[in-house]
Amino acid sequence: MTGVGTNRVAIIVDGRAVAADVEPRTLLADFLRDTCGAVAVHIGCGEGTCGACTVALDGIAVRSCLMLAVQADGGTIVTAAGLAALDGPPDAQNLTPLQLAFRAHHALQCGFCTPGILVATALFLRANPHPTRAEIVDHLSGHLCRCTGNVPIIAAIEAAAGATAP
Amino acid sequence: MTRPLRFGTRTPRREDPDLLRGEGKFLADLIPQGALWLTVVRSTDAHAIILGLDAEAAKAMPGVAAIVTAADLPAGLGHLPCVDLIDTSLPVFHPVLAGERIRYAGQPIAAVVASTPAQAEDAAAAVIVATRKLAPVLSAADALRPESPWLYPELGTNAVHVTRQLVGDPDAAFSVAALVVEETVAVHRVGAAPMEMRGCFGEVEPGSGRLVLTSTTQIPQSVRAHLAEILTRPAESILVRAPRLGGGFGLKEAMYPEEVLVLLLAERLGRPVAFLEDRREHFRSAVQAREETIRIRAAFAVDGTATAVDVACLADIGGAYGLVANAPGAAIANARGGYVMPNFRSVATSVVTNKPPLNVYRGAGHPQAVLAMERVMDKAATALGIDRAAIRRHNLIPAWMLPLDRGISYSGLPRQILDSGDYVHAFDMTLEAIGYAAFPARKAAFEAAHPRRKLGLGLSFMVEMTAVGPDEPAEIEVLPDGRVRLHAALTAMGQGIETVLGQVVADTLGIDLDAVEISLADTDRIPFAVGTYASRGGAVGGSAAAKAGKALIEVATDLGADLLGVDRSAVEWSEGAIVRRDGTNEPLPLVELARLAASAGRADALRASVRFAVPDTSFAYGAHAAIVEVDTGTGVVTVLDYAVTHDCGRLGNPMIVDGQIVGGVTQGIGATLYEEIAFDAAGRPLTQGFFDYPIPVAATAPRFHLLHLETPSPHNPLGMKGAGEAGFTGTPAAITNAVADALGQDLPLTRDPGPLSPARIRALLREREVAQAAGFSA
Amino acid sequence: MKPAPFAYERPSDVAGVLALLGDGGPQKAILAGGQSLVLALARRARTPELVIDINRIAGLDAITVDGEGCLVIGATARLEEVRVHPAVRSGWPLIAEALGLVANPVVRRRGTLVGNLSNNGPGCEMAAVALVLDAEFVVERLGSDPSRVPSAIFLTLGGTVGFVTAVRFPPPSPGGFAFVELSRRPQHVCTLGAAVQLGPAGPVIALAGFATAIRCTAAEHASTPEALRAALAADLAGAGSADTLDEYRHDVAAVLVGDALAVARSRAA
Ligand code: FES
Ligand code: FES
Repeated sequence: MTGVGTNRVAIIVDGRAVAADVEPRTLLADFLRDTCGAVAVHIGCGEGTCGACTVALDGIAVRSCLMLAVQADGGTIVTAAGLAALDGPPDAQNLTPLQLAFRAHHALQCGFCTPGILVATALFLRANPHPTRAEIVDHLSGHLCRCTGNVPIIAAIEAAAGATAP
Repeated sequence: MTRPLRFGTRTPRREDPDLLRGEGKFLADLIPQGALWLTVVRSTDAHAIILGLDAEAAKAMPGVAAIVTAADLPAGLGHLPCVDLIDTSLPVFHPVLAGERIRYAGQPIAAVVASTPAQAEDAAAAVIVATRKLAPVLSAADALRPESPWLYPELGTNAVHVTRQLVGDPDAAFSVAALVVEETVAVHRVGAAPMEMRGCFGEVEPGSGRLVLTSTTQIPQSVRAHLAEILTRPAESILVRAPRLGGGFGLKEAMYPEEVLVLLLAERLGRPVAFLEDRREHFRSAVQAREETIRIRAAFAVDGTATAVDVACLADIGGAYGLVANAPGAAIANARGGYVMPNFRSVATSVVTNKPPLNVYRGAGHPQAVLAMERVMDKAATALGIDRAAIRRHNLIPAWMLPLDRGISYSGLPRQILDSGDYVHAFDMTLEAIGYAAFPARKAAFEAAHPRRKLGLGLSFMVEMTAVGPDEPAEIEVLPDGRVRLHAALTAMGQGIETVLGQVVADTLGIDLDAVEISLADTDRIPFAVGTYASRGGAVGGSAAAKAGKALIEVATDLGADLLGVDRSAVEWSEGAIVRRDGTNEPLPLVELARLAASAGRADALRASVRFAVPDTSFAYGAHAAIVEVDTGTGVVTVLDYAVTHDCGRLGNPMIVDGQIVGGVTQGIGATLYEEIAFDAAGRPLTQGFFDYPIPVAATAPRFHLLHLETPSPHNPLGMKGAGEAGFTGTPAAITNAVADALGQDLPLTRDPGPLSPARIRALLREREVAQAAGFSA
Repeated sequence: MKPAPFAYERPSDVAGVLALLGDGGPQKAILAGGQSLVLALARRARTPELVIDINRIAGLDAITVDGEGCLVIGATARLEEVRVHPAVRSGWPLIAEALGLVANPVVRRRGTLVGNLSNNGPGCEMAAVALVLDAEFVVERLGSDPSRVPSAIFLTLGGTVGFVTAVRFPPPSPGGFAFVELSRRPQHVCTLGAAVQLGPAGPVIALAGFATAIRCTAAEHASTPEALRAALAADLAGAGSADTLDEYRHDVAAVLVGDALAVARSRAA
């Protein structure tokens, strides 16, 4: 490891400040899981295709497996565990409207893909509160779910969008 | 007075809140602090002799704790298991680490353990493996050619496992047949590709010295038993746990070398050792599925009656046995599915090749067998000039004929007695749902408007073994706070088992769902069980849970009478409480009983342990139909509509069952149209990740039309059959038949392996154009 | 899937990048969006000694129309920002249409257009667009003035030419346009993509999907479907192989280009 050294990374994860020295090669996904304990960040591929590791970095959805931790230095991260920061207020079980819509529509089975989809969808609905079905399908192009057949996920997002209608 | 039953309702899932908050506690979330990390050095050659291994430089790298090769493994270490061997099976077992010969690219050669995953990878990259390459054998057909090398030279053959079935006198039926239809159905290699990859970690339990494996497995109890054999140590000294799985689909119904390695290394190094697969590794080291070629011949009378079927199946099982030696064989034995077909012969041969091991995946061999049979039905209908739906209705087993013993016996499987249902009715419901009668008009209108595009409708009918035995254990206990905890041996992998079991226990005891806790897949609690596969969890696990609940009612009522100082006959159980039969006094609710029992020092009495013996297999069935659009210019196939009528007995939770069907059909669409694990000419995997393995997404979802029949299974008190595999099983057949309907039954869609990709469709259309231009067309 | 060790620098200006980059070579890697590079690092397909992160260089993410009417897209401008940019949508709609097919919305928010074109991976849609629109690349090297490299040259050299600070598209020619593509599965990696821009001199056509994108000049003069088929056969005669699907690409090229031309003409009408 001679010559590569470490870099200081200070970020805020779901409202909690974390700082640590990491090797430059440390991936953001690994940093979030191993150093920050953010286990809502799921690694389904490590190659940027599945979307399970998606987190919000300064309000933008990113694949945490395709970023170096050092790149996120100074940033604010939201994972599915802190979804309320991106979505409506949570209920008594700490579930936001989007999470409740997923539950009501059986839009998760094993739930491994779910955190990434929730984060990306919360940001998507912020930018586009009343999407068409085609826009939802396009939005989901970056997320793989092996269990549900995706139809219930589309339905849940439609319902969540409808629920926030003005 | 009576509380509404949970069973049969769309009860929201109990596992959802944790999962939605990202608190799912998957395997990767449970790895202990301070664990060392295992990386496996894998062969890059498909077929080779290992000449030498040099790990000296690697051993000196930062963070490295150990590097282990086959030579360093304990003497007498066993190989990975195979559970369906018969007398004539040849020994082609998977070693934990390759010793002398490499039989597939991806096979483990050495284990590297270091402080971090990155350091383990650094060192793995520095391990030098010298090999002498051998010619690879890359298909079952190749493997049987006389000039092909043998993967196990000492055996003198690559055909290692053969099973046969014979019912009636097929030869006699063929000799008088009005029509004999022959078809070759080549099915390509795919993978279950759950979103959570494989992982495991091993620890040594302080004090007891027991080895503790936590693994992404659907079969923790079996893994424990196999580990005991492999490690030659008593099963009591091994503990296996399965956390929630991020999907299983059969890929985690296997045993993997890493499960052995993490235990050996944890014991040797005195620290926990963890392994997490990566996605590229996944496509060369996790079990693969489906690859086989079926030759099917069927005899028909002029009226369309199928009188005999003869099937031969050649499965390309890779370089060694998976957990099962012949996944296709069991299903090919059931190739007749829901059709009467009195005379039957099958032979299923497993052939070793230089590819990763083949194992089961959702539906095991059933989807391939159904595809073969349903192609034959379409061909026969065309040849005889009979409507495709009519020929199927004509041959489907009528309801009055059930139960029907198929006369099949298959090693390791129970008798094949189709139990119950109304196949014809289900089939008719699907015809209605897909709009069969109106389809010709729809097709004509569409094709007139889109000259390059064709519509096709495909049908299939599937019958499948579900809810298999032999038995299923359950334990139940009342906690000090009056809540009830059920311990089941099953693994949670997205199928909602915690919800379904909770529904059953709540109903049985007459208590709130919230008062029921479910604990799963811990061999410390329940050491012996068979596992979670073959669509068995809900039906047999639910039945065991119901039995446990009833047993608990008995002991609780006994204890209640005792503590109240009344005669046992004076009290009974009602709505989660002990009540006096004469109606006097307040009911004694479970929470009070638990308190009384505790203060009397008898809390231990409030528990029961049962085993539900499955008397016979339940056969679920379903009728599928698909409508596809094919662009003949580009070869692109789009599934527009998909209808399924399924009968999995009583629906414990219709929402969950629908989810299983839609999810299964979707995987079937993926395997039929998009997915393929491919290899280059040297046998090296071309599939590196999802870039090369396009699974279905939201954009590929058809319109679904789901219907159910609920014929109770006679084989369990809940009347349930299984639903986990039904969606997939009928799908390749329905879609392939739909494409054939669109493009012509003469197009040889199944002659060669591979998905019905745009490139394959175009190649087949071009081939036909060339043949027609040359005047060869029929 | 963990990168090999490397050092990391985050210069704050272009001069800093040039100083670190020196003569370039495989030991140095420029990190922009990282949507290809980080995967290559994780798979150890690339093992540079130094990764130069250009994401915090002020102004490098600009999307502007310059004095000559050219669209200039800076090295850290994200694909999605380019796609939704009003000037792009109105003046260079072919870019926006093709970008809608690149990767997925999340990757597009991070990945950059310059990075996408510098990698020019298999099925790179934007490479075909760059050929059709005659884009040029602004390349800086230590000690010399910025140079402009035409697409036809840049796409064969890739990121090895120096530090690409921007890609430049000439003023738009008003006319119909279309980008259509085929893939193994909807929304998957592009197997074959056709970019068409109608201009005063007729259509300009390029195909993405072979080893690199190919400008199809013969096809631009074809007037019947049969002629198009023959012309494309000539255009693609020397196409480099991408993978096992080449035969399919040759087979369907004429159909795909025909579809793209039809869409473009319907928009021109
Ligand atoms: S783990 Fe990052 S996209 Fe799959
Ligand atoms: S719910 Fe299992 S992968 Fe989506």
